[in-house]
Amino acid sequence: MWIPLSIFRSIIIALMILYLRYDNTQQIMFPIIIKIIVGVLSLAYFTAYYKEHFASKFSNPKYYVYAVVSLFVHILGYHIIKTCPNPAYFKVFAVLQIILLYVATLYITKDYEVSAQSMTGIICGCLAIILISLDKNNK
Amino acid sequence: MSGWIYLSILHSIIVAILILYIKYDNTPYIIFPLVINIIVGALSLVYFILYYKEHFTNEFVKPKYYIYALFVLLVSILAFYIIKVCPNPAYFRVFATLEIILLLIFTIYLKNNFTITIQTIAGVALGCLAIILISLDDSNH
Repeated sequence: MWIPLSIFRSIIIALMILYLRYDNTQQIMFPIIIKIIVGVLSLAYFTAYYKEHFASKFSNPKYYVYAVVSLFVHILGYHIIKTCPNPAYFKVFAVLQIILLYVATLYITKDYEVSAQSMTGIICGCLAIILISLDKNNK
Repeated sequence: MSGWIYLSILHSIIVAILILYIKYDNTPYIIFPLVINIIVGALSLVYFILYYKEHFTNEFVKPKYYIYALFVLLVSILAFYIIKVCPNPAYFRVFATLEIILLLIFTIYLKNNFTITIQTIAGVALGCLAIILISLDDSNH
């Protein structure tokens, strides 16, 4: 069952990114409004199930730092989807995230054994980013 | 290289750091994403009031935002459910390649004059291959 659900989710995500790409809402109003609505829904959920944690969680500065960075990344992603030649190229940069996470996890866990398959994957990922980035057609 | 490429690299680095932070943070249940969504929502509301308050009534009555927000919620719940039921979360990550392929096909279909070079096609194919290779490597499970 998880495979058809994953396919369904991929189709929805692709359509959502395409919608962002061709929507004509001015400036960065679209992601800001979506974040406000999602925030209200989350507040309703938090109040319903975790209200006893309210004071302890909202006095912790780590959430505020993370939230500011998260908002910045969200608006940055929106801007890139709007300005890149094809949103699929931006999505390919997910491979860079995977490589960075892979390398960081190797460093954190002190386990430096990398299999040939993963090494091939990292090389392919680096090549992918170089090829797309250096293509003059993608300016 | 054009601006969107530098921004995509910066975006990837920050997203990777954010994911690593979540990985090693020990907040119980789903409190962390909920608190983050609430704070981000509050910050967005402040930003909207400061810069777009004249649009408040005409934008918030548009159903497109509510429909999109519901889809955001649906895909997050679906992701949570799939990660729980699939044999390995890495298999789920492979479906990012399907998103890339779908986006490429849809954009080529929607923009009739869209041109794509062999170099970029090779880049997209290698990117998909990289995600598949790393995600399906048994030694990473």
